Amino acid sequence: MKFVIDDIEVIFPYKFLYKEQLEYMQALKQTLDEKGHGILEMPTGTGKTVSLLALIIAYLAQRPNTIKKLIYCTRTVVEMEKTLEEVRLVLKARKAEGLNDNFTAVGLSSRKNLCINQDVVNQKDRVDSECRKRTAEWVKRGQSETCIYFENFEKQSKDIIANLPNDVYSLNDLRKNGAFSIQCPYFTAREMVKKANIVVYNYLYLIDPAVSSLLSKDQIKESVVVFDEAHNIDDVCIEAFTVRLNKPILAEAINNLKIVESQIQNETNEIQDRLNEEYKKLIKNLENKPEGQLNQLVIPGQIRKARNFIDFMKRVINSLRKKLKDNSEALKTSHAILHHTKSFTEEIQKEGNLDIDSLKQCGERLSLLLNTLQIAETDKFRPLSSVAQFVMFLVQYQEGFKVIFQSNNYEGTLNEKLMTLACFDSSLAMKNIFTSFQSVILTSGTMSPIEIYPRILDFKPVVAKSIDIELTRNSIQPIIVTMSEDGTELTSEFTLRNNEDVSRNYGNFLLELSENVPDGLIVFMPSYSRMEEWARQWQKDKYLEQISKNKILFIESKDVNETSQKLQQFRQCCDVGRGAALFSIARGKIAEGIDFEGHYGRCVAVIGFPALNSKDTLILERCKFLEEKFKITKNDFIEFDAMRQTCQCLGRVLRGKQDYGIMIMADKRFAQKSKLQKMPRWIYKQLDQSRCLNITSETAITVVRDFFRQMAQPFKIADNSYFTQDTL
Amino acid sequence: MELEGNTKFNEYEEKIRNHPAQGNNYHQDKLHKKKEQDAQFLITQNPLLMRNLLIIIDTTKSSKINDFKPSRLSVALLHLPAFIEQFLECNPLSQIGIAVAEEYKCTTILDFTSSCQNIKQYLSTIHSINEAGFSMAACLQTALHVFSATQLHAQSSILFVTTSTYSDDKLDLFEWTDKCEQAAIQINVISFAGAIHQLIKITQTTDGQYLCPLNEYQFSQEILKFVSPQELKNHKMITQLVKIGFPQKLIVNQPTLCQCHLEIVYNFYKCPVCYSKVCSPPLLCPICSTWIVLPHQILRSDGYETLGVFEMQNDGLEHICFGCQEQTTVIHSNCKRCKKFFCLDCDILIHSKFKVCPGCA
Repeated sequence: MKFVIDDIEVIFPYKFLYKEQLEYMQALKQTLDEKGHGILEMPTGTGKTVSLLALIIAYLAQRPNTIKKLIYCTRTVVEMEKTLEEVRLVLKARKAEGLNDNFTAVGLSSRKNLCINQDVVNQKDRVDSECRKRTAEWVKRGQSETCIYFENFEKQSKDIIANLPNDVYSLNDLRKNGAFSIQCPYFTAREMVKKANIVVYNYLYLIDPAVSSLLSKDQIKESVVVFDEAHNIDDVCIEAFTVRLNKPILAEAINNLKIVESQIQNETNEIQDRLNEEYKKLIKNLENKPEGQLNQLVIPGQIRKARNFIDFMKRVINSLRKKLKDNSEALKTSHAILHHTKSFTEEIQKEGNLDIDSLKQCGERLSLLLNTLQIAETDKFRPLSSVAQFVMFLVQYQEGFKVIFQSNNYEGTLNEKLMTLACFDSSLAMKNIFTSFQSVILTSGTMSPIEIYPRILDFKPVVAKSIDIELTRNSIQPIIVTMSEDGTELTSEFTLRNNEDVSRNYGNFLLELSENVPDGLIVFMPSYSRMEEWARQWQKDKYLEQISKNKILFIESKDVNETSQKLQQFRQCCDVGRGAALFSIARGKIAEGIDFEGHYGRCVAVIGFPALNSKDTLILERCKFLEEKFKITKNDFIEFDAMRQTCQCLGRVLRGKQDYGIMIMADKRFAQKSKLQKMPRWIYKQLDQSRCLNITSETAITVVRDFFRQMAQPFKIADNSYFTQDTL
Repeated sequence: MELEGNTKFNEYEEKIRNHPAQGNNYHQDKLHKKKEQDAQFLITQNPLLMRNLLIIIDTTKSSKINDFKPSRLSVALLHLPAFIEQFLECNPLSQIGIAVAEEYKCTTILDFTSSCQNIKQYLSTIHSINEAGFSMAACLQTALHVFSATQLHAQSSILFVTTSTYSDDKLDLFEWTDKCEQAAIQINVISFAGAIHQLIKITQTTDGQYLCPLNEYQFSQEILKFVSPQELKNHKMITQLVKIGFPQKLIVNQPTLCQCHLEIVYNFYKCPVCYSKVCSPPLLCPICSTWIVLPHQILRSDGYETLGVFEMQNDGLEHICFGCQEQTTVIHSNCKRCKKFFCLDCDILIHSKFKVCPGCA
């Protein structure tokens, strides 16, 4: 269908347009008009992506001077493929309307997802380094293995890419095209990204400093950047800037250095020649630079020679090792030790006699050296590069970072001491993006409270809007359960974790639920350790046995493959009418990005309040930082984080207007006012305060039974909730 | 099916309403009654001669749940007799069987019969069991077994009264669903628990209905929807000649055993072919396989030919009612075939009870 918003003519690929979609597009258009950044919240499963694409593509076509490019960032490959299919749909609809707008859309992913060379693909985890071995600059000079796809690409890349018709190229298309014309899909995609109007790739291509440098050269200011499912963007930013080091890594880094050193000392002419050449190039660079400007590419004299650089790195690693050793002693008595970045830098400098400029450039210099020495297995040298990254961040950013020493209790049995350069400031990573692009749009199903995002990411949105869903019937039913049948409180509070009554009450509640919910039931718990504790208790009290009579039981595990297999079986069980229950973690893989549409998810129960562990040093420090810089109190932040996680879990249940489901929050803390306020509006609106708030588990079961009977009645979407071509 | 003469009827009703001097409540009530009766008549008018209905009642643990007072099963058993009565009334040549679903299995407690009393008696023996484990596939297996003994020219349908939210199958549900589809067995579900995706799918593939009543009243109303046969897309019934015998009714002082249900009876029917004693026609003679029916049952089940909806006549004239031989008042109707006039009282009586037009007969 076709309609006009202000002065933009939008072609929409479906026959119906929901009211909230129109509202969403209007808000989006306002953002683009004002050339600013925006935050938009719209419930899941209401066609967010397609409305966004339809409007931006229309904008691209009709105002080519205002915006030139759309960069769409997704979190996973599956989402990326979905998005590209939607793009295809929109472009097809436009073509059907007789518009010829020459758009090219392309998806870019890692080598692992795009490689078609069987020899390389078979290496599984080592695809990256295997590919580099075959495609790096020096290989062309005629050494052992080469990749035919890449060679062909090198020879005729310009022509082929220029001749590719305007179309949508999903990862699958790229692979197919590559196999057909014997071209490397990965490099083709990388080349096409420069030219294409619509680009879809992962968050990290923009946020991670190590990856984004690859693409930063070709960025156009007049672009729209969209972050989909952006509710966790601050965590992604922080994770990208945090570096962890421990004893094995440092030892490995030393080994790496030894390999490099032995290569340099291996006095073959060729390597010496290359090293000399490199040195000359660096000197030349220095001469060419205009004066006064501090250019990043200038490598300081201290590390310009390869040998000097290796000595330098040795000193760096040794001083870090010493620091780690010193602090390990102290860790025996205390939980964690904190260092300010400034004092820590000074100490390191003193220790190893290092100068700041060299530290700043050591990452750059390292990659240069590895290139010169023709080392392709970059993943083998990851420890060394993490060390370089560590010191780089340490010197570059003064605020928002802290060095933390703590014993690592989570992984393995060894009580390993961990040195973390932790980033607390999520705005650091985003700052670059906000300044280098005209419009940045953050969108997700759950972004409430919306005011907090501009604060922690430090930017000023021109539009921040939460859009309601219009439901014909009450197809979602949030329920907050605070008490068990006998009136004892239901809570996962830390102080009550050893109380058997609590876990028994939860078990009883789940048993009742499993009996009354048809098809799929998904249960989220606060953490793995808590789930294990409860499961043990339930096993003892025979709850699990009884639940598995009503539903087949699946439990999420840490193994990704196993979990995806279980998901498949879960779906199968729902399909045959047996029904299934899935126990998973509120912060796990299932809570993010896996949809339980239709009968796969009839009820989501969040058992216990999924708060961050407030005893953890990293989290404590982050809260402290947020309080200092953005005036967000610790409680506020922890509540906000827990609620967004909860709502993300709850959002799994509703994937469309025909869909329906129950959202259960079982903890007394959910009923507090401050938590209710942090719920997205579309969920809060559906919460029947008199009937579903603060009730016992028995009453909740009654509500559940009534709800499912209500929903089984024949139903049609009301005419006034959508527009057709005629009614617009 | 449209109600014939409906527009005229509505016009007339409006006319009366707009005429305060003439329109009194008595007439309006009558008109409403006729309207209802006609609608009911059309619904129950049965294009199929014979139907076999198997009612499968879920007695597993979930049937004890007390959201329907006193329990789901009790509510079902309370309203089923009324449904069965009406079903046998409207489908005179039809039979009903009863089965109960228990833990992973399903047992027939009553073979096909058209004796209402018999069915009621057996219904009262059903009670809940403590174990969970409703299995749809097991039920279908039993049903197929039961239906295999019935005639091919009858329409077979199953009515599930379920209370569970799952179907825990040891057998392959898809396989048995396919078999039911091939045998043209219609599967209907009336559920206390909400929509189960797979069961809805099964009812859709076999042209059945999936109903989910909200409360007790709605249950008693919705179950009546199964009285009239639903239209079948997958119509596989075989047309064939059937040997029919009209039995002779006998009443004796000495108790005797009937051949069909092996029960002690005082009044029974005698098969005209083999003289065996049977208790409740219509049924298949257990000895010689003659289809034993009473004449009025055939007549009534063939409702199309003998009786249509009477058309409202609004000519302002007075006629003599063919039923009660009295002068009709302002409102009267006539049979389309024999053109005889009837007053509304007789009209309603004919359509609700006789199902035969006295004029045509």
